[in-house]
Amino acid sequence: MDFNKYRENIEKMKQNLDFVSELNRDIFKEIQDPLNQKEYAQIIADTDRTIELMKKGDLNELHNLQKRYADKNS
Amino acid sequence: MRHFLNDIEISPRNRDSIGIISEFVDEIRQLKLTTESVILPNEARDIVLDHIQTNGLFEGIPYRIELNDGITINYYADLLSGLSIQSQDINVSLTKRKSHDDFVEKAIGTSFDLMVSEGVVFNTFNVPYFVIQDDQISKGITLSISIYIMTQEVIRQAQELTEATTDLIKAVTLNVGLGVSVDWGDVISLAIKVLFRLVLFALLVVALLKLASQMFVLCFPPKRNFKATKFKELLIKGCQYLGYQFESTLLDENPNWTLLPVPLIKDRKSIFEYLPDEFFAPFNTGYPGTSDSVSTLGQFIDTLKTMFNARLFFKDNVVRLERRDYLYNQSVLNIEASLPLQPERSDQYKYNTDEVWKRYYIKYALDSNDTHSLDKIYDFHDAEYSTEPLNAINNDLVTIKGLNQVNIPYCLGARKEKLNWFEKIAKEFFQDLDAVVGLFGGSSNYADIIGERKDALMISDPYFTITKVLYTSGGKQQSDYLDYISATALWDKYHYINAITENAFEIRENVRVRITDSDFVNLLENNYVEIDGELCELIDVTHIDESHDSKISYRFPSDYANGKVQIKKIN
Repeated sequence: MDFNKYRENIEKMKQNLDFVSELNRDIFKEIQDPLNQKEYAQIIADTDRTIELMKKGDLNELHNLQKRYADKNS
Repeated sequence: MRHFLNDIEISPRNRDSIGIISEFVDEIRQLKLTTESVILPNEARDIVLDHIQTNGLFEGIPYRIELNDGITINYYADLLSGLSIQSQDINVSLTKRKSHDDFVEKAIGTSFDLMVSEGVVFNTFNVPYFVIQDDQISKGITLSISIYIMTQEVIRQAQELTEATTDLIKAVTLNVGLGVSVDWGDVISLAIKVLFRLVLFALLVVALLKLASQMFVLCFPPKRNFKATKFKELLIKGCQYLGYQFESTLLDENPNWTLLPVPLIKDRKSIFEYLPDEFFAPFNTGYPGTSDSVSTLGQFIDTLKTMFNARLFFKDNVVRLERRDYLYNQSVLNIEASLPLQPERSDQYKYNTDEVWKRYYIKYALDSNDTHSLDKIYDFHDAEYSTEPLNAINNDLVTIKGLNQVNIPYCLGARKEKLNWFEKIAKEFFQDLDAVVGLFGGSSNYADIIGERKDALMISDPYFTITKVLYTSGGKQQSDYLDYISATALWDKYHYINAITENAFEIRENVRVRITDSDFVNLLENNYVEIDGELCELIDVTHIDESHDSKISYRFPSDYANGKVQIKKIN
């Protein structure tokens, strides 16, 4: 088992998450349409919430989020 | 010799044949009567019958014997042993008050549970331990597979999240770069995809952490504590309970001998109903109970006599546990012994050849419920020695024979000195897990906890069935504990004196001596005396005051084994 590779992936992922968080906020600033704005605000809020839930280890709430976005994603 | 029953002077019918004998070999029995019982006629008989009427049979009657020089020896008539009532007489046996026999008979029936129920408090202390089961290979395989699957899945989800993020970035930056308008619908769709992947990743990470924490508890049951007691504490409190004081230079010099009773107590949690980290109270009491290798004070003392090649010594109200030759070199008395065969005025002696052994085997018990006692510690649980002839001419005529087996009913406790292979693998994984937790703002120290899994007792199952002996300081066995506790250490410190090269004597029996009552009493405190310029060990002393007849049996040092045999260590 290559634990170093595992750790590298996780560290990259954390950097990506930080980047996505910033990117989302930049994108939000560019969106003019109020409906899209509203939808994107929800995405930003749920992204932040996902990271919070991950820190808390709340599997139930994460499952709820997963169900909601599985429908939207399909 | 004057006799007093309950402070009333009496005259036993067999007073002329009543003498006092002290035996020093095997067991030190001081001041026994030379007769089985005293025969009490007339008033003495009435005193006994009155006592039975009033107090019953279960309490003895004080009996005092006064010798010359103001020497008084206190006995009691034991009505539960050898009492015989006849029309004219009563036969009773006497036991010395506060003596070896009195103590031993009481100790053998005094359980530690009884003492505790009557308010005795033993100072117990915690002995930390780990349960290291013997299924490390299957645990290792399970953990490795789980780690592999979980890690692969995390990597896969991380990659997919990265790809989704890259798509989102491209959707924004490419459109801007080409100077065309951004398709916000696509961007939102991709942002949703990123979020979905993020949620999946988060679910996986959380599930991984939860699984890891559960697996951690199952694979690495937390360090828990047993209760244990030092040998000396059990003996001090036990003797105190019986009205004696306890002393021992043997245990003063080696104060860390510890008894760890079995973890079998009533009303404990079931190990099948709770996870290992849900147990808080120790599984044992800290003092030996009915399921232990010993449960009474007397049994415990007997095992220590075996372990340490020791005897109990009594002086005044003090009980001492010491190696059997404790009194050697403390002699003050010089005795002039006559020749054994007085009519012929000739010497007669025999050698102590019954103490010659071919094989000497010291052995702790093994506990099949604790695999560690069969593992590395096994090498230290026994020691075997052989008496081998030197320069024998006809080997087939060598007659050295016999087995002297020292069976110790306790099991050694293994010390966990380092991490095992399974812990080392797991520690690497949990180090990364701790890093992941830290990365997301959490805190865990699984790797540190694994790293601390050493320097404590280890057992292979939560239950073991044979009482353990440990050598602890601060509740832990130090790295050199086997130097004190191994079977070889017991030989080197206590049993080597039983080798015939160290233990060769000429035995002279029933040798008449001229001693005063005071000398006789002095001999009770030290059975080594100087005879013909040599320090000799008395085997017994018989003193019949009425006939001024004193006899001794003693061991005179000999060199008959020197240069003829050697002691060879077999293992």
